[in-house]
Amino acid sequence: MDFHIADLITKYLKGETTPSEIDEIQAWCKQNESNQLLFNQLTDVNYVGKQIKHWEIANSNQMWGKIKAQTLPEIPTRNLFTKRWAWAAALLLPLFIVGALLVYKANRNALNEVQMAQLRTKKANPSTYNQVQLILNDGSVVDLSKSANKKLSENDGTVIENDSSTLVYGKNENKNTALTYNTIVIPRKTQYQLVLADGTKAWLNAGSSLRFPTQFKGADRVVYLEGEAYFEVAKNAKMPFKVISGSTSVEVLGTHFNVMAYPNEKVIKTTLLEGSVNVSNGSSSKILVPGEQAQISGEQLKVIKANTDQIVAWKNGLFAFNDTDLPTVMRQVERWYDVDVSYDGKVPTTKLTGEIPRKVKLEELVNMLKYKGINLSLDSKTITIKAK
Amino acid sequence: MDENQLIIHFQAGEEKAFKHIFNMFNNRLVFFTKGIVEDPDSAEDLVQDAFVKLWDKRLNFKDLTSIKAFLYISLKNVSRNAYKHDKVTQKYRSQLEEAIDDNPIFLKIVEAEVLEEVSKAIKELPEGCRNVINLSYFEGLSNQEVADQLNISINTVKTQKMRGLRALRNLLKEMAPALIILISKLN
Repeated sequence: MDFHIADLITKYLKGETTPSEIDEIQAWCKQNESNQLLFNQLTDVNYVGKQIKHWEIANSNQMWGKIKAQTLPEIPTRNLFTKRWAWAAALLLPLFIVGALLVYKANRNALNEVQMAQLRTKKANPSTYNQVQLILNDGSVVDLSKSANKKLSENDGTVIENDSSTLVYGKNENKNTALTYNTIVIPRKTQYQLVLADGTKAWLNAGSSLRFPTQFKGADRVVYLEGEAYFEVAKNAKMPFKVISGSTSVEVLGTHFNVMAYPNEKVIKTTLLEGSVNVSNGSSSKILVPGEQAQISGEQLKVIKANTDQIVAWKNGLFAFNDTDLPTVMRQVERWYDVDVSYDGKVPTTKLTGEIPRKVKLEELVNMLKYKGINLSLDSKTITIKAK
Repeated sequence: MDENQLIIHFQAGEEKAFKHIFNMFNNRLVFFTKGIVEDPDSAEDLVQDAFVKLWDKRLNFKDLTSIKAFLYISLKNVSRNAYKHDKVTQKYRSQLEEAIDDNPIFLKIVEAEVLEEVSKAIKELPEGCRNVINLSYFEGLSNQEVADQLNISINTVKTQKMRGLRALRNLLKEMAPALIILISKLN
């Protein structure tokens, strides 16, 4: 694009043109009538006066506000990188990426085991696909799928980065003592990863929600879970990390564990992979060692040995069953495929063992279950299981 | 901040630099867009979108001229697409496609650029001088009216006018003879 003629006319108006430049303007005016007309207008003080009288856009602040909302985080990036922790975060970022790639690769490998070609031809129906949502402290709701790769920010100054499968909370040295809470809601059929401000990582399974402070302050780090999550808690001996699900509380100092506390599961299960946790249901409490699972059902608290690989298989894109009863399997199917399961007659006592990639289409899964001898039918969003 | 610094800070994602670029181009882009779209009320929204697009592509620009060109071109393309969606136009599109002349759009850019420079030149004048220029040339008030409105002497109005003349000599010089007559009358 050529701004030369505009520059020449501006120069002319300021009386700064050389004779050869005036010739150039004249030649341009002779090229066609509209050029000449524009030149006449721009050298007419009344015309120019009328045009530039309202030259400043009255709305420009609002325009800038809207542009800003779609582009910039509310905190200028420059401030971000004067903080030491930001450099630390920048240095840690490659680790997160490696982690993400490993998860991705694991999913890819899992996918290879099933018939890829078959999967590729069947795409998820977007109309039935609910989106992951983040509820900010002021109650406003952000659709995370729509704000992917954008920075969000909370009014306490916390910067939140979203890359469409992971939400990362930046640490912030705001001295304000009040806690600002966010809630992430993971619909059925999807899962999400979260990095909290203290560096704790949480993987959230389908149909779960987690309420957590954007910055941890005070004596402990408390989050509220409904559904299932796997936590890798950043070590901080001075500030215990607590996961509260209904009446169950899991308290840790820095460790890896999985909590399953769906409203439609009778038993809340906490499984420890690394470190130690203290599980309590209000009336009693137990300290777990790695490989143990605490099962809380009402007032009852019991500890069993658990197959930890199987417990956290969901995090790696797998359903893993080990002599698991059919209703337990079907509740996972409900959450992951967003279907409802009903039983026509007596519930089959079949137990299932094995791994199935979560990328398998529902129709294929139904076929697998049929192959296992279960009599079931799929009708759009309902699976009906018949007694034999 | 010189142009290179501004571009670097903009590419680094700094709000201040981005806002500076926004302020630099916003007025002329809204003027330009109002002149080429059918619905002038949509101009501000379209300009906003163009800036958002610019932000996403900010690593591609080495200087302000290429940023300016990008903004004009994307707004031009949007207006073209708007025409394409128009059903009546659609019917004759194939015949019109080649006949669509870029010159009116180009002239609108020339106009926007020149008017921006004029408004900048006036803005750069000292405030007293700028007020006199605005009232006497662009509002068409007499020297006496200007003097009354700004609560200054006629002589000040006269000197400020001569000073303003220098900033936009050719544009305002046609008015100069009238001005001289006016001054002689007032004296």
